[in-house]
Amino acid sequence: MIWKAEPMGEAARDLNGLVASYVEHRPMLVRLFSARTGSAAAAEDLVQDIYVRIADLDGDAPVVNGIGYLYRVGWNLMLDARRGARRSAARESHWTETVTARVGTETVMEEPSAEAAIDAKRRLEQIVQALEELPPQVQRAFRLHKFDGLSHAQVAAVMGVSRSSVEKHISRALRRLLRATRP
Amino acid sequence: MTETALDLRTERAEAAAADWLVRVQAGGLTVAQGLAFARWLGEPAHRAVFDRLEVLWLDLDEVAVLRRPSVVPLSPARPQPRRTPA
Repeated sequence: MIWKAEPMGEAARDLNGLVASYVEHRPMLVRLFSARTGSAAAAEDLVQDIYVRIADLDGDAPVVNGIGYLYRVGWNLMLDARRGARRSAARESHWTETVTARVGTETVMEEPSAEAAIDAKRRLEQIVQALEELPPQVQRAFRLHKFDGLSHAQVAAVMGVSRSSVEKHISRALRRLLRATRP
Repeated sequence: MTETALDLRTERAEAAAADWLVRVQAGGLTVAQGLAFARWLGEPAHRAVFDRLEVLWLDLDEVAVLRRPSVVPLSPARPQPRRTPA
């Protein structure tokens, strides 16, 4: 058989493994993302998008834990969507503001969008302050990961600590930041 | 519920949310953990906290833009930053 005489490369096997993993775990993915979004329909769409994303890979996906990888892809897609929604909301409020300024009377009213901008600024300041108050090692691990884009393993290598310590540091940082930004 | 009990619950939920997010990001969530995470999210108060955490995560992108470059001592052994995981 020809396909046996020309074995697939490592990468191709990985990709097939990923698709197989997707097929196997699809119901689990729908279940988790339903719980996350509160909507079975939204979860179905998202899980479909996960498939599109992995089918798009050039076969260079180094995947050890298929389901874990798929969960992460789904989470990233969800965040990307929220990022996009935020940007269009920001554009919209900017547009409203501009129009109001042009056609408005001399009376300067407090615009909801201006108020929201001040709230957003205050919130970012809160976050920055909470970041600066983190213990040095926690802060360093967190910054390397979130701001410099290093993976947990890369942060571990740079800091000379274990990956699990890095994950503990990052979790602790997030906990502190959540606490500092409670509504 | 007393204020303290409520605080304690919030704190526990925040800690759990942070741990879940880190696990998802590490790409190491197992089937059993995924089920446990779904169960955890089934509690509306938990989902609200996780939602706050995601908003925070996105806000941090804006903080990153404001504060770039972050203060990180460069060493020759420093690995290349990985692109956003797919």
